[in-house]
Amino acid sequence: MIPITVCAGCDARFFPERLLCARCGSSEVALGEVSGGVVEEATLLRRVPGAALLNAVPLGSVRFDGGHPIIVRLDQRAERGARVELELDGGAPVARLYRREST
Amino acid sequence: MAEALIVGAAESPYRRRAEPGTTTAQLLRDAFLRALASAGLEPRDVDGLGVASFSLAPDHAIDLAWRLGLRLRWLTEDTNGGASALNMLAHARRAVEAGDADVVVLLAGDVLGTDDFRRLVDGYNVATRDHLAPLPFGGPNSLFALLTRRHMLRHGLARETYGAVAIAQRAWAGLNPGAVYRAPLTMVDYLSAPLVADPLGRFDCVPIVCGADAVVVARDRPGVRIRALAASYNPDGQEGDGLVSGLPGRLWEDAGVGPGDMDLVSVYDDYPAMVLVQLADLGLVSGESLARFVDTEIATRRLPVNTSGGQLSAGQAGAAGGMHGLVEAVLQLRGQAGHRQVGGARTAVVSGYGMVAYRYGACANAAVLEAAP
Repeated sequence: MIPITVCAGCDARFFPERLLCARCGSSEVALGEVSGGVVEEATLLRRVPGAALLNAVPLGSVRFDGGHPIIVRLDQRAERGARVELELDGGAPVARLYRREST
Repeated sequence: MAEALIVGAAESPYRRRAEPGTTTAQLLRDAFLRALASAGLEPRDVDGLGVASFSLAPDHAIDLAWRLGLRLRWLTEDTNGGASALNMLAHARRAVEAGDADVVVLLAGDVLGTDDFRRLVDGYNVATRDHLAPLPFGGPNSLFALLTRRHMLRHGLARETYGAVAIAQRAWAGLNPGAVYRAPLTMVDYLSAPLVADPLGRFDCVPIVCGADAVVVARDRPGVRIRALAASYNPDGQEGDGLVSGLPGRLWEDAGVGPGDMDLVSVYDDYPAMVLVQLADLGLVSGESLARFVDTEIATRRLPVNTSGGQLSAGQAGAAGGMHGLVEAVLQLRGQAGHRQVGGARTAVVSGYGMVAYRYGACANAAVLEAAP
């Protein structure tokens, strides 16, 4: 689960936290949760300026269910369309692959 | 009130690393003096100051004004990174035309070491500090790797198209003694360079350097005209694909000229994909194929793009990155661009872009400039 902002007025969902609903402008926003999404793009972070990166880090853009794309760390390299489970690890959204979305 | 013009522009030479002991304030002072000299003005003529810098802290614009000995009636500081220069220009232009100031100097520059840069990008805003830095994400390279993947898919592009942009800009840099990276770049070099974050390799990622830029805005003096300025901030709440910047808005209507009238272009180039995104947004891409456009227009210089070498080859001096292309366009329109001078350049469009709020830049702006008659 990752925490999201949910609009009581129009049910728009956002991550990270928003102060007002960015779709309808409502101030009636509350904390919610989402647990899944679909990989839209992936990359492998191999180098960081001026820092030793011991292991390459798989990162991705995942559209969370009912919402928009967010940036995640993937538990393994993944292709576009892969379905993932989301959780928060020290503030970082982490995506665990559990099956390929049929396309 | 008379029209505000850009009456001076200069760059304090970029360096891969600053000389030991060099401070941001010193580089800003150098750019300040160079720009005033190019305008034929003295520090005592200045009554307005705008500053953009990530590394001036804990000093602010007023501290810089104090240390420069300036007596001002207009002062601003801009935190909008790659969009700061044109944002400040928009404000300064109105201030000068309204009579709130007579001579405004706009400064942007940074001295950022590797550790400074890492701290900067990991603490860029609350969302980044809390949700990107712990991934880890390694700064904006990974975010623009994802954006470039979307761009490749959208337009059916291979890495070679982005390479052709980097190579064309490096060729321009070879004509610019102020560019930090000037050695010719081949497609073999580009494709064989180490990957940073797939599909981005080393030559796709803007190199961090130290330096400063400055422009002077005043009226009743010879200068470059600002035909129009347009801006777009937070156009899609970071929920889109980042493949549009939100421009041009009313830029061309206000300018009274069109993209086809431009003699040269300075677009904000943190990554080659963003060069192509902004060129397309500004209506500068002819034909249906981006790959063909790059080969026939950019690589051949039929459309001179980022004639200094751009940030990809001149380097990105922190917040100065947003002013670098503006200074280059002003030099070109004043016929002061040396061996890289675009013959007969009369018109230019300049764009700024930046401030990655979460997934891509949240700020974009552009100006249409015209040489003095």
